[in-house]
Amino acid sequence: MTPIPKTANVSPSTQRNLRRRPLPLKLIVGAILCSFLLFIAVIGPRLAPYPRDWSEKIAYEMTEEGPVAVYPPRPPSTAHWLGTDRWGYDIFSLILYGAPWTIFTALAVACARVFVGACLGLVRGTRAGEAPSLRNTGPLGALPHFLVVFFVMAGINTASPLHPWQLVLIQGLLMTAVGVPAIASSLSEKVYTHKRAQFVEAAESLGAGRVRVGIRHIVPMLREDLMLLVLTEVILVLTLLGQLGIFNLFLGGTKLGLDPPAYYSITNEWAGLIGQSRASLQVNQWTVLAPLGAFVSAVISLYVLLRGLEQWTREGLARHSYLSR
Amino acid sequence: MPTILRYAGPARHVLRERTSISIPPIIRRPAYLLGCLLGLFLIAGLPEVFYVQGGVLHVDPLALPRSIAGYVHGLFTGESFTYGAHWASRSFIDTLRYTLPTSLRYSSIALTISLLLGLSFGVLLGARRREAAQDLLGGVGVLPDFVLALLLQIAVVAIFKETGLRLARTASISVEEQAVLLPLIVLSVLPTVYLMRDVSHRVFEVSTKEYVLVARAQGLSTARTTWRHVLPHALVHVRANATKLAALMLGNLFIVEYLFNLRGVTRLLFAWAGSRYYEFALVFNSLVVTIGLFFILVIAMRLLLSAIQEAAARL
Repeated sequence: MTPIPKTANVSPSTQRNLRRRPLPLKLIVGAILCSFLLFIAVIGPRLAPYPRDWSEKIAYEMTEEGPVAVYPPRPPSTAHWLGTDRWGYDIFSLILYGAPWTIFTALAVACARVFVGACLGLVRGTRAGEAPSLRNTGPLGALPHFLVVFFVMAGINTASPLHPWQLVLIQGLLMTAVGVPAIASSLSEKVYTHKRAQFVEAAESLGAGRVRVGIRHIVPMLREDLMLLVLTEVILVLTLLGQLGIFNLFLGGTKLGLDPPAYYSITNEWAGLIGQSRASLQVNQWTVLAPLGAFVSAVISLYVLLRGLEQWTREGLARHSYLSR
Repeated sequence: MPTILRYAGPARHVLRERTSISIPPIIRRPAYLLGCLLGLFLIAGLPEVFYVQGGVLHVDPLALPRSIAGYVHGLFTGESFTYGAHWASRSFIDTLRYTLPTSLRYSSIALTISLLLGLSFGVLLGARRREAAQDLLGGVGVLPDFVLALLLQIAVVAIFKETGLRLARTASISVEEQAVLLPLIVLSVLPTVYLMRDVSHRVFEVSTKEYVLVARAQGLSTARTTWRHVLPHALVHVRANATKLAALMLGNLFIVEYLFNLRGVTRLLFAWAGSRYYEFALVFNSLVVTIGLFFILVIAMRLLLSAIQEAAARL
C-alpha cells in the first residue's frame, strides 16, 4: 500500500490564516506580563533584598519626644518596600522567595492536568461508536475541588515530617487528579466532533488507524484549544491554591505555632502568605495586601494573555447578531 | 404571505419537554445512591487514613472501613448524630436547626440576586457584542471568591479608619450581629458574572440563527423578538448548566461562611480542624447536608428559570 501522502493532513484554512493575522494588543500585553511573571519565578529568590532568615528586631528611634520603640510589623518604607510582617520579615523578599513555588507548581499542575485530560479525551473521543456521553459527575462533582485536596492534606500537611518537596509533589498530584475529569470530558466531546469531519473520514477510508487519526489529524485540530486550556487551568490551580491557603493549608507545608496558635507557610508561597497574614487584616493591612496584590496580578496577567489568545485564534469566525439592527 | 416563512415562536412541545423537572438519578437508581454515599464516606474518611502523629507519617487504609462500620453502628445507637467530646457532646440535628437556615438564607438571596441581574444584563450584553464589556466581566469572573472577600473586608476597614464610617460588618461577631452585606456581595458577584457571560453568549448564539432574521423581517420589535424567540431558546442552555452554577455557588458558600464567620452548614465540615480529635460522623453528616443544599439550589434555579421561560414563551 502506498503511504498516505502528506497532503492528507490538511489543516483548516482558519489555522493557516493564523500566521498572517496581526497580533491583538491583549496578546502582546499578556505575553509581556506573563514573561515578567516567569522571570520573577526564575530569578526572584536571587533578587530578594533580604536573606531568607533575616528579620527586623525591636529598635529605638530618637524623636523630638524622646526615644520611641519601633517594632514589626512596620508599614512600607524605603527600607522595606512592602513593609514587614508580624515577625519582622521583609514582605517583598518573602514574596520573591515564594514566587517559584507558586508559579511553577501552578504551571506544572495545569500542564499535567491538560496532558492527562487530553490523553483520556482522545481515547474516549476516538473510540468507535456513539458520541461520548456527557458524563454526569453527579452530586460528588458539586463538591468544590479544594475540599477533596483539603481532606487528604489536612492530616499530613501541618507540622509534617515530610520534606516540602514531597508535600508539593503529593499536593500537585492531588490537584492534577481533581482537575482531570472535567478536561477529559470536554475534550472527548471536541475530539468526537473533529472525528466526524470529512477529512478525518477521508483519512480513515485511506486506511489510517485510530492512533494515526488521533495523532496526525485530531491533535493538530486541538492545538489552540489545548493552549487556551493550559492558561485557564493555571488560573484555576492558582485559585485552588489560594482557597487552600485560606484554610491554612499551605503548599509545601504548614508550620504550626502553638502559643498563640498561628499557621506559617514554610515555602512562603503566595497563597500561604495571604493565609498566614489574614489574621492581621483589621490592623496591619499591608501584610495581607502585598501578597494578595502579587496573587491578583498573576491571575490578571494570565487572564489578559488568555483573552488575547482567544481573540487571536477566534478572529475570522465572527458572526452577526440579527438583534442588533 | 408565504406561510412557510411564518414562524410561530419556539415550538410548545419543545418547551414542555424541557421545562419538566426530571427526577435526579440519585433517587432513581439505588446503585448510584450507594456510589455517592461511598464517595462521601471516602472523602470524610481521608483525614483518618493519612495523618501525622508524633512526627511520623501514618497511612492507615483500614481506618476507612472501621469508620464506616462505626458510623453505621452509630446510626442505631444515635451516636452518629452527636459530636464533640462526650462531656460536651452536642446533637447534630440541633445544630442543623440554626446552621441550615443560615446557609439557605444567604444562598437563596444570592441566587435570586444573581439570577435577576445575570439574566437581564446577560440579555442586554448578548444582543450587542461589546468586547470591552466582555473583557471586564471575564476579568471580574476570574478573580477567586476569597480575593473578593478579602478585598472587600480590607476596603471596609480602610474606609472606617479614614472616615469613621462603618459601611458593613467584616465578620459575624455574634448571633445578633451577623455580617450580611459583604457575604451577600461575594456570594452573588461570581454567579452573576458567570450567568451574564453564559446568557450573553447563548443569546448571541441564538440571535445569529435565521429564524431570528425571519422574525425581524416580519416586523417584530427587538424587545419582542428577544423575549419571545431568543430568550426561551437561550434559557434552555442556561438551565442545562444549572448544576454548574449551583456548584459554583456552593464553592463560594464554603469560602464565604469561613471568611465571614457565618454559622452555616459548611462551617461544620471544618469544626474539627482546631481540635485534637477528628469527627468522622460530623463531617459525613455535614457533607450529606451540603449535598442536600446543592440539590435545593439546583431545583430552585430550574424552577425559576422554567417560570421565566414559560412567561417568555406565552408573551
